[in-house]
Amino acid sequence: MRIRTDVKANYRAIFFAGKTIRQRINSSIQISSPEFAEIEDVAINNKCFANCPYCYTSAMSTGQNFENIVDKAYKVWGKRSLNNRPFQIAIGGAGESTLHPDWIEFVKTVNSLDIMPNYTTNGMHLSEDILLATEQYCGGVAVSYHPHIEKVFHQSINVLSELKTILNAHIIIGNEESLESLKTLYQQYKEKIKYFVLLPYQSVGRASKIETHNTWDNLFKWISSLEKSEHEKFAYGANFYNYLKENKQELNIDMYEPEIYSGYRIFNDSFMDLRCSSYNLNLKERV
Amino acid sequence: MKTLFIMSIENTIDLITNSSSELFVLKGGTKDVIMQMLDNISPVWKSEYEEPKNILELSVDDLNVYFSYACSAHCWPARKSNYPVLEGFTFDELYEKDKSDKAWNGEIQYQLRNNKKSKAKWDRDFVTENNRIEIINKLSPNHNMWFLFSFDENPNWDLQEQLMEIADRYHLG
Repeated sequence: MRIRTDVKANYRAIFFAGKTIRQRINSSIQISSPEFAEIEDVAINNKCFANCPYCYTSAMSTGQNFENIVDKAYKVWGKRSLNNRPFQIAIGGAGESTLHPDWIEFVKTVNSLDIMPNYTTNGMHLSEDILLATEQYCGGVAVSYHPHIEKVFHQSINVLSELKTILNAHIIIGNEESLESLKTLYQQYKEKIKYFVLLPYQSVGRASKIETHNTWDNLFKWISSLEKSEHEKFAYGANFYNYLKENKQELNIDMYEPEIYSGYRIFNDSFMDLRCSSYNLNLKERV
Repeated sequence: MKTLFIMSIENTIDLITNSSSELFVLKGGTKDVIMQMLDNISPVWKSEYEEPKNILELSVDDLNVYFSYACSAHCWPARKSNYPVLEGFTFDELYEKDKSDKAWNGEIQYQLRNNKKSKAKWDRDFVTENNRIEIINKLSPNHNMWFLFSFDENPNWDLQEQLMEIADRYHLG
């Protein structure tokens, strides 16, 4: 269990078994952004072979695996007091992280620093060693669903669901087809997958502009129509924030301003900089 | 003395795998998460404490127990500034004069306002069935306060010390 207090931000957080409880120190004052991020999204490469036409980071097969990521992890987190290290990181962000040759050493190092590593994968490169390291060092893994490599998704879910590590699925919701896919996957895998993490389609990177509003309306109508106990199977990307603020849902969703607890770190030469998010590369903190 | 711990939970989240941004999770699971946290601290907590209660689950009696402690000057005679004014309330909403005479320190003494209509002097309460919701809404507009009451007096001290790191502790008379 880790406990972190930031009196100036009126914030206390308790992290245990992958869960975080955030508290106000003074119950009548809102929490503001704590000095150090609680969650960091981490990119260790920008290389990917999935070639998704809607990739928001424009990852390419010719992308790079960033160098010395283990040393960088020590420099950026290891030198801080435990209280100021993130509770957990989500590895992904700009490429398929499991392509990195130092991936296993990296998650092992992060784990040894008392930070829980989690990652997102397209499932294309899950070797035996990576599966073993996932179970040994990682708190959670999410498989991203991409229709053009659907077969890999199914294989990965079946393999990863055998591990003790928590398994999520990331599904981008943009057009009606994506919503139909979600409905099918939900029925097929609701016993194996802990959370269906729904990410709103964003026309960023090489993703073209499409109309999403009606599909999002239909998405929330569909979830509302499920049994209440099933509502907890879904989590929502922060980019749904503005939509949810403008379109009140019957679902009991805990909303908080995006980016106040998290940041985005790219392990290239700028690894000492923490940015606001992978959609907002403005500087948040420099070590 | 019974012990009470209070936490103001902003939100709870499960682990994050989303590589582009944070998640929102559904409310409603907070009680379970608090209980899991307590299990994580010490699985024996259940033998000494009731299940955590959200402020909306508190009875009139529970609330009166809380106010009688949280609004005590903890000394006698007291100065006016010794009486805590809880956020959301004014001094006059919380207190009324105890007696019109001043105490030997030259100060008027105060007690929690009696909001009961009863004429009997001893029959007094700050929280009543009529004002319960109003009081809850003033004390915790977001209803994010959680209360952990001990069953009996003087629960295990080591556990109390651990809980004091994550919650405000009250010793209830």
